[in-house]
Order: sequence, then C-alpha cells, then structure tokens
Amino acid sequence: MELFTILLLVGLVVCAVSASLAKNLLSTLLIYMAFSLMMSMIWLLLQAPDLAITEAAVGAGVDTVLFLLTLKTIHALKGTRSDKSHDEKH
Amino acid sequence: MSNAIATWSGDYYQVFAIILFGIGFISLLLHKNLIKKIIGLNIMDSSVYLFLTSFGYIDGRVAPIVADPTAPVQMETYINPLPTGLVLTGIVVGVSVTAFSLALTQRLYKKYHTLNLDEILILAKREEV
Amino acid sequence: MTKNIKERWRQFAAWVNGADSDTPVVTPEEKRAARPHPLRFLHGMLSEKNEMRVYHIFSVVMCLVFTGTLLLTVLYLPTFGGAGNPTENEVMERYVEKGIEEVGATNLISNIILVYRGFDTFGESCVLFLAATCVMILLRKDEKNTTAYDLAERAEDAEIESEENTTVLRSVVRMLMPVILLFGVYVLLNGHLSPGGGFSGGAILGAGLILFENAFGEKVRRFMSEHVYHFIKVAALYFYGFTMIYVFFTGANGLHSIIGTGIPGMIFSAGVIMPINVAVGLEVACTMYAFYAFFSKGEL
Repeated sequence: MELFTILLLVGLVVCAVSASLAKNLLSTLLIYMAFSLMMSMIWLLLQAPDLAITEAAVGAGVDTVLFLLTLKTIHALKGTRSDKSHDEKH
Repeated sequence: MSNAIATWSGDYYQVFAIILFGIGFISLLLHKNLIKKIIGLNIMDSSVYLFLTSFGYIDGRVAPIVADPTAPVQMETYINPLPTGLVLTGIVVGVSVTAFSLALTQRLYKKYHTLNLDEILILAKREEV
Repeated sequence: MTKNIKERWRQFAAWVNGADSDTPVVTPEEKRAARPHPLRFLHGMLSEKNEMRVYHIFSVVMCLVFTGTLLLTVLYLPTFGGAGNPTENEVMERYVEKGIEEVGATNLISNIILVYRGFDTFGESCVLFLAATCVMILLRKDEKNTTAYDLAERAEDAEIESEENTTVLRSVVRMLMPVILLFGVYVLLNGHLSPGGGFSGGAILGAGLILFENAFGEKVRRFMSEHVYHFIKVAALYFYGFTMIYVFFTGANGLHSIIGTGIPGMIFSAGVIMPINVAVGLEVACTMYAFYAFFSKGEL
C-alpha cells in the first residue's frame, strides 16, 4: 500500500512538472486534470472521502470546463477561428 | 544527515507536498503565460491542502464516519476530522479564485489580444502615457 | 479626450492636496526620474536580456532556498501518522465523542463544517457568491459592450451548434443524465450519513447541468433563465443565513433549540444539517452553472 501511495505522489510531481513544461496549453490543461484525479485518489488513501468526492467533482470536472472555455475564448484550441481582430487593431 | 533522510522518508507526504509547492511557485514566477500562472497557483493550492490533510491522518484509523451510532463512539477509532473540514472549505474557495482569475484573463485578452504578461504590461504602460 | 480628463483629475488632486492650482503639475514619471534610484547604475550596466536572466536566476535561487527551508522544517514536525501527535487533542476528542450526541450526524465532518465551525462555512458561501457576482460583472455581454466581432463569433457558434452532429453526445447524455442527477441528489441528501454534503453534491449537480446544456442547449436555457437562477440562489442563501443565525443565537446563549437531533443514522436526523446541505447544494449548483454560462456565452 505504501508503494502505491509513493507511486501516486511521484505521479503528482511528474504531472506538475510536465504541466509546467508542456508547450501546448491544451495538454497543460489535460495534465492538470490528471493531477486532480490523482489527488482525489490520495485523499481516499488519507481517509478523507469527503475531500475525494469534492476534488473529483470540482478539480477534474468544473475547473477543467472553465479552463477549456477560457481556451476557446482566447483562441488557443485547434479548429476554432484564429483571432482576426488582432490584425485589425495593431 | 542519515537522521534527516530517515525523518524525510517517514514524513513523505509532507516532503512531496513541499516539492509540489516549489514546482507551483517556480511556474508562477517564471511563466509569462497567464493560464500557466493560474495552473501553477492551483498546484500550490493542492500542495497546501495535502500538507494540511496529512496532519489529520493517524495510522490504522478510519475515516470519521460512524457506522453504528448506537454504540458509544471511541476517539481511538477515527482519524482527526478537523483538517479535513478545513481543507473542504479551502477547495471551494480555490475554485472561486480560479474562476475569478480566469474571468480577469479573458478580459485582459479581449483588451490586449495577448496572454503574455510582459507584453500586456508594455501595452498598458504605452496606453498610460 | 482621456488625456484631458487625466489632466483635470491631476489638477483636482493637486488642489485637494493643498497645492496652488497655478503650480505646474508633476507627473509620477517625472517624480520618479528626479529621485535618485539606488539601483540606477545597474540599469546602465545590464541590457534588457541580461536583466531577464538575472530575474530568472534570482527566482530559481529564491525558490530553492524557500523549498530547502521548508524541508528543514519538516524535520521538526511530528511524525506522520503517529498516534498522540499534538493535533490529536481535546478539540478532536470533543468533536468525535460528543458530535453525535450534540449535533446528530454520523458523518462527523459535516458536524464540524456546518455546526461547530459553521461561521467558516458561511463565509465560504459568501466567497462563492462574491466570485459568481464578480464573474458576472466581468464577463456579462449586453448591448453596450458587444462589438461586431463578438456578434460574428456568436453567429459562428450558433452555426456550429445548429449543424446537428451531436448524435453521440445526445444519446450518451440521455443515458447518463438520470444517473448523474440521482447521484448528485443522493450525495446531497446523505451528507450527514455518508461522505459528501452540500458542496460536493452541488458540484455534481452543476456538472450534470453543464453536460445537459452541452447536449440539449435550448431545453436547459429555457428552464434555467435568469429569473430562476436569481430566485434559487437568493432563496437558498437567505434560508442558509437565517438558519445559521438561529443556530448561532441558540448555541451562543445556551438556549434550547426547537430543532431536535433525531435518531442518529436516519435520513431525517441531525437537525439543521440536511436542510442546510440542500440549500448550499442548490447554491453551488447554480453558481457552477452560472460560471459555465458566463464563460461560454456571457449571459444566462
């Protein structure tokens, strides 16, 4: 069990580093979502199931939706139109 | 030194929480992109929650949910519920802060058409003059 | 135009500060240039690129020193998971052993966050309400601040939405939606008996609403209009506030509360906890949906 815990904690550190280093904003966001899921497993191992439920619903669910919508607004997603008003203004 | 390593390997939750705090802090300082700064802030948040919750855990005890409410409740059965309650409050406040900073980011993008904080500062200074 | 207003404002500020209005107004930049700067000679020596490098090195060193100090502090902390640590004190004893008798919920955490430390949680609800209000102020789009570019973008979104290529999403949502809503309501109503409670249940309900909105946009928008949103949110907050005032008043003055604790372990027990959980859950669900609506469309 301790090995599993340490694996999860190392996974958290790897996720944090790669979220910080990833070039693409979308991959940063998805890595952060994986970070939240691992965090909710760690809450379960720390005997805090309330936190696990909240983190899974909030960290991996609502937070990711908000980040994705922001990425859509700032035109960082592929397949959406690039920002044309930038050229008009400057 | 060996003493220190023994303590650190015992308190591995706290050690990892501090490493995560460092990673979040450095990405908050060094990244120019606002979205990455917000994600760094969130990582720092999570590390503080991890640090706090690890103090409530006690080996061999279970989560504070009483299975049989008719029997008298023994303190030795359950972990400390207080840090969990505090962190639960913290997580929800963290979401509010994230949503607020993302809204500010959208407004900044709408005005300056960039997410680079340095460029935003230069443009804002140029506008001021 | 803006410069004129700035100029007048500066003159007004100088007048407020007691200066003669005829004296020349000094801008902050001029003031800063006149003052001798202790690090000015560094600016001459360093080019802009080097300055950035110095900043990077300085922040890495600062972060390492910070982390090292914190790691040294861990050596002096009590052992992880040891029984008899300083955190295991009379506060915890009271919360664990008297919790069911005094408040009545078998989930001891909900005893703590809603009754023993209800003040904290009430403040947290206000923070959530404030955050939703700020998002509304920042991202609301009405006639006054909508540009032609926004309109074009919105038309494009509507076009994508009307293309009707959401068959997979719709059939999956049709299957998942009852389960998600049922789970959310279960977590909400069983907050005093099992893990969960207002915030997690509300977040699940809100996430379900967001999913539903993505698949069947019009139906949800017709139901969650602005009036419904404001009504639910304000009613839930008022209910929560008045209940907490009653609990604080009776608790602080040692009065007998008319709300009993009931039989621990039953659904209708634990006094105020279940109604408060429902109110908080509704508020959180509304807030999450409002976050989504304002982030994606700028209106409810």
